[in-house]
Amino acid sequence: MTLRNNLDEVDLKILDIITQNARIPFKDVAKDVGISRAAVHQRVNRMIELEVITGSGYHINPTKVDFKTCSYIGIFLEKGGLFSEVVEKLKLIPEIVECHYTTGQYAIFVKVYAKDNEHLKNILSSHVQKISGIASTETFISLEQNFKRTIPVNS
Amino acid sequence: MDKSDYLEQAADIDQLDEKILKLITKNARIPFLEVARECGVSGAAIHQRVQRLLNMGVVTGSEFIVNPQKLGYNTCAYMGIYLEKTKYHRQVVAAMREIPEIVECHYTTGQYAIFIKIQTKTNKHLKKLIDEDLQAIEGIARTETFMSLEMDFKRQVPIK
Repeated sequence: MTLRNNLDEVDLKILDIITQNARIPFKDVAKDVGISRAAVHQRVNRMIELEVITGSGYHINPTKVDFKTCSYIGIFLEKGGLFSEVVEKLKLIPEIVECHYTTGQYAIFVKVYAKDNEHLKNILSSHVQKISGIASTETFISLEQNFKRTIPVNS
Repeated sequence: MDKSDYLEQAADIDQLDEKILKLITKNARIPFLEVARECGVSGAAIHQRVQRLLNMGVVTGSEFIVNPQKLGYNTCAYMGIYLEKTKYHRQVVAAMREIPEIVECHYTTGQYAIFIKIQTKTNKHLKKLIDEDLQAIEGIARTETFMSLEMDFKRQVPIK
């Protein structure tokens, strides 16, 4: 169920601002939105309680910390029932940053950051393909990330 | 082509930078004094280091992370896009940038030319987006959609 109905215009305005910049002083948010600073604090805390906000963080540019190869991997399982065991094992591989259970030809779809192509090969052959239950994999290397952004809050 | 056009150097960061990154990527509003205490340096040093990381482009900004479902975005899909001709790549990417529901866009190897991530409110909303917005973009031959039934996890790259 969506909680969107529990959020008013002011909440959405606040979200719009703080999803762009997490360290903005709440005083500035308050001025922009036209309410008091205490009210901003209260609303943000409420959205955290409602789990609309699940955390905050600085974005790292992966290429600058030496992760130059970004790729997506579609995974075929031997049996559909092996899904949860396989996900548990995938979670242990830190280079896998995202994991989805998908429809379509693949059972599982993951996003991987590796240092270079050799590192990617190593992750695939020594880690991913060693997981029992995985039948085969299909890799798409991203040559360029054209853009990445957050969902539109105010619409 | 100048070498710097395609070679992106890893930034020169030391162990202290890595420690700072570990803390601030988990919580963007952590007081810098607390980071300073954990790292055993002064608050001013942390400010300086974070500014330097921003200037070098190692960190590109900060955000509060929202749960898309709580905002009514219940459908998440990945889509592979086939182009009529490869040369349409630029114009297609430019057109897709105008569609706010497309949250990620990559130029990939493999069977697809472009690979995107889409977040929509409902399946019907996704259908409308494919039908009206994507098919209207000149140069797209066809698309293949994978719906994510569940996101099992999502996290940032590991800092050593």
